[in-house]
Amino acid sequence: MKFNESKLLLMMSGIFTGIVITSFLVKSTPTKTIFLTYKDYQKLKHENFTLNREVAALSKNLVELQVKYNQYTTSEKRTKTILESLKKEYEEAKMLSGMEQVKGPGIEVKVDDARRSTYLNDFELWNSIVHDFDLRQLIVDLKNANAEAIEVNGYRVVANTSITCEGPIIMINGNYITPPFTIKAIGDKDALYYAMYNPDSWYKTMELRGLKLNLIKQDEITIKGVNEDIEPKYLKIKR
Amino acid sequence: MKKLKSQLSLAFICLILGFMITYQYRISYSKTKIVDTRQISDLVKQNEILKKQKEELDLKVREYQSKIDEIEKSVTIGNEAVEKLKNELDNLRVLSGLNDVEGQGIVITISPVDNVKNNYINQVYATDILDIINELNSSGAEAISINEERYIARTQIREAGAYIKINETKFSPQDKFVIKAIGDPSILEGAFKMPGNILEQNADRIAYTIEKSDNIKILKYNKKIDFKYAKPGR
Repeated sequence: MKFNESKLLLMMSGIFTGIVITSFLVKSTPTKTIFLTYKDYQKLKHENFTLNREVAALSKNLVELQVKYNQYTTSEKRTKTILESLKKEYEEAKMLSGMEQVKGPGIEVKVDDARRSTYLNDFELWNSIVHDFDLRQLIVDLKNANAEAIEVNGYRVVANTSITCEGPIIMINGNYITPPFTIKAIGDKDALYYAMYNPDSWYKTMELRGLKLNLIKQDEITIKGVNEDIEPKYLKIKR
Repeated sequence: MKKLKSQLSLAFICLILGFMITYQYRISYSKTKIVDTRQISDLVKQNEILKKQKEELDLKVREYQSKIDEIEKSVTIGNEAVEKLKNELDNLRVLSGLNDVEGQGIVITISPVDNVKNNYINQVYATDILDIINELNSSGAEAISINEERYIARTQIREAGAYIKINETKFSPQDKFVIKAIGDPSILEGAFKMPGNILEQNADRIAYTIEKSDNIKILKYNKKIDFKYAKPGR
């Protein structure tokens, strides 16, 4: 018998291919696994998370409404109950929206640029200025120490407050403010004081930059409510 | 002639073999996660159940809301002072985040870039979220939520151990964050189109997408918040 070399090679590679293909089949059929990119899985998980939150929020909402409905229907003086409930809700909403002027204990932070006669370089100049992000970070630190009301130079910090850099000037809620800046916050004054003065705080880094800072605890601070009427243009209440 | 034919077929087989091997190699090395089908179908099933639940609850909530509205109306009608109070209350509730709201706006999704090469794990920081909120507010956003947490005046966003806490709810800083904002979509989007905007500055660390939408729903703030120190006073 005469062996053809190329035929033998052909046969060998045929066998090898066969093995590879069957190994595929063996691997993929019995253990039902499908390939899912991590992104798909994440998407599915995120959808699940969102739905869970929505359902929880809705059921809580429903319970509140049921309680309110029962109160309304069972009370003998219906008009009075409804009026009282409306008034209470009004006061709560006014506090939460920041429209109400409030009083209470808290701290007052004063911040000013470090004015020198000469600046060594641009970096030192940059460090000597109170920037928009300085004010933002101070406010975040105060909020995280559970400040209940905050104002900067007479402008109340609310949900839609923005503090931006407009060249040489800082803008808050669409109003220009210039240094010195006075930040007032109502809350637990010791907690607020610590939030400003702990070694890891933004206040401390500002101090290291040589800015003029001043921190006072006070027993009574008055913070004005939002002074402009905010009329939503794009919002609609979902019913 | 015969030799050429056999050589050709050999070449063809080798080609197929090569493809198969590289294909297998690519599958095992590409970034896929093999998840048991049971796990996925569970998740899909769960989502369907949740969707149904959501619809049912939504109906019930609407029913009670309309009942309460009717009762309140029966009292307020004809009484100008009370009617005014009710209107102002509705306005205040929108401003303070006590109502579910909807409208046009944008959805920003941010997630840490995975850096497989460096073995370095990226994460989203609280300041990333806070900076985006500041930009959105300066572009006139009227309502903002982060992962369905409504941003209100007293919302705290901070790093707490291995989590980011928003309204006292924990989120993993390695996951994606979905930030929704209602307002003028083109102005809101414009804030993140400017060269050198805050998202572009961090693009090597944080991947992002921005989508305009005509119908964004933002949930209300759903926790109780107390004022212990601040008291109303003139």
